[in-house]
Amino acid sequence: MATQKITIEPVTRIEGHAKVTIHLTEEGTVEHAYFHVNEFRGFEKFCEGRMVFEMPSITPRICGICPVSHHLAAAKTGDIVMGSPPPRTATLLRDLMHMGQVIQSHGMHFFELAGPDLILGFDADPAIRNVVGLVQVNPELALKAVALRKFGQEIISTVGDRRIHPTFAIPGGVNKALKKEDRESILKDIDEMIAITQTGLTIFKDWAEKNKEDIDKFAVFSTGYMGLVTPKNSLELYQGNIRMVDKNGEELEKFDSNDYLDHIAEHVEDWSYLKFPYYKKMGYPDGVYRVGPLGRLNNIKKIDTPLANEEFKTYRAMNDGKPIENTLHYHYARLIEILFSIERVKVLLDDPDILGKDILNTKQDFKGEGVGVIEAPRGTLLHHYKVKDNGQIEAVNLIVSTGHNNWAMSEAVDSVAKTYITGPEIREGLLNRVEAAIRAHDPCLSCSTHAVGQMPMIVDLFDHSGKLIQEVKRDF
Amino acid sequence: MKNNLFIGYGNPDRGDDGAAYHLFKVLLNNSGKKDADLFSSDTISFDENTDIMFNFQLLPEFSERIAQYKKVLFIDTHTGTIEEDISFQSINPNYQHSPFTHHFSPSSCLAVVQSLTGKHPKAWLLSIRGFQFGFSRELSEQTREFINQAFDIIRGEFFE
Repeated sequence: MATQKITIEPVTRIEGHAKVTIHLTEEGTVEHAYFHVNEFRGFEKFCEGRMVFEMPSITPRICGICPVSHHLAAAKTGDIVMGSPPPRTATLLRDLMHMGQVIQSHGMHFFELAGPDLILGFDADPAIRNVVGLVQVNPELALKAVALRKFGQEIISTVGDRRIHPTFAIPGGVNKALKKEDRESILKDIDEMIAITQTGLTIFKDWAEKNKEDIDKFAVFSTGYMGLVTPKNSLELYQGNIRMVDKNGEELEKFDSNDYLDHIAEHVEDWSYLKFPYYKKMGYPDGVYRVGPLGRLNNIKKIDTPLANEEFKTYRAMNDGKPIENTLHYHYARLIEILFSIERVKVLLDDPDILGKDILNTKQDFKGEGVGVIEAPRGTLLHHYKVKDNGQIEAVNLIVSTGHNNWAMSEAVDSVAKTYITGPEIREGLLNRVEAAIRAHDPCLSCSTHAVGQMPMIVDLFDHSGKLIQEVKRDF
Repeated sequence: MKNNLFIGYGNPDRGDDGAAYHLFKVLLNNSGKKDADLFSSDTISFDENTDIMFNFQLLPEFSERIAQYKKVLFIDTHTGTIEEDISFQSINPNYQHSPFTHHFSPSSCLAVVQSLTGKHPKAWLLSIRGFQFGFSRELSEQTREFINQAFDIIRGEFFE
């Protein structure tokens, strides 16, 4: 069967770090769609030869989107390598900073990236289907969205003193205690932030009710799920063991992060630089799994904060307690996690130890190797270092959240393309659905770089012989 | 409140992507403020009329701060699609869509300011051609040369 090819390619200065190609048959139906990541990652090599105590400062520079996650994962790895577990106060403070990161990142994603699709519609004019359009339609909501994100950012800068390039967490602890007035300053906004998040939940649920048909055919598929959990399998974003469940929610494994290589392997495809992690015992592709908000909420039994747990019960009830497979429910799960994170901020700040002064363990029992794991906003983030006796990094392996979701993003693109696209003439709204299938996972493909003069989107249509028959460039 | 805000953005650990950072360093060194911390959480007072801030990327919440100034200069690196090696152009509110990820442009920032406040400051984008974006804290030879020319543009447009 002859095929045509459509390419969706945001051109950036990193040589187009990701693109989508859609192969059409002569009849105009989708034969297969691929999500390619073209970025070559050289960061692990860049770290070799550095000192292990430098890693919490170096690794946040991988990414301008979630620097705090890399900062904390590197510090946790350093704790293990140096044999220097942090005092309880330091753990609480790191957790607090992490909650700030989750709130600001999830807040931005829901209100500014996903919100316009949901509130204004997938088929709305792209000129207004954005945060500015949202401001015009609902300025009060837009201001609330800014306030929520700012709340998260201010937790990060209050705890860590710096908005970027944090130097706060170090192997063995942190370098700054929390002041009482800073604690009060964060606490005073908690109720307002919960109310804003509940507004977001209402918006999502209203939308979901009206768009159930779309949600039920938009990239719905079975996978396993993975994430950190508490000892009783509650939601955990900062510490704990890694749990994996199968498509029915049955536990496959629960393991210490240092044993990740016993359970996770990576598959390579020749059409993407990003590897495809999977659960070793089941092989590839049977062992593929999802991480991030949907993956985490499918991987737990409850949430230990009351408001988030109530919402979690509603969420899981949608599929009679079994995992939720609908890609668009990443947004619902993300909002529940914001609620959890805000409640968690209060739990942490109400703990008397948060104001303690014992913040750094200077005793060391050098191990030379360690794996630190954290639930970054977009999923499980693993740092693995091997270190020489003098503290110099010998080898680094990073498995980033977006990597774990690589198979799921590809599958979502393929599924949505097959569901919605017919014929070589493709409406913008349909292409937007393909993008939305990726956006739902909130991938981080950037390397802290951005582009002036970028060409936002190119769609190329090729016939079966490889001849370009149409080029569509979107101007925004 | 001061008249001018200079916002530089980029990643100083990705070679020429950090051009704005290096340009700010030149500005600060020339005004005897070489110890100013560009990674701090606050804006830096450059002089009685001008504040400076630097970040990895532009963010929607910057709109609140931008709305407080009369003139805003965004400073960034650019690549192939802009012809000039150093480009200085006025910009207007215009939301730019990011298909996959968290990218926010200067025009998008202005569009948010305009939507929230009904007005926006005069704004310009000064961008400098970049050549290498690997993991390095050094600028390429060519981009380093452009920094001094960019410095002259800022001096001519804002300080004379």
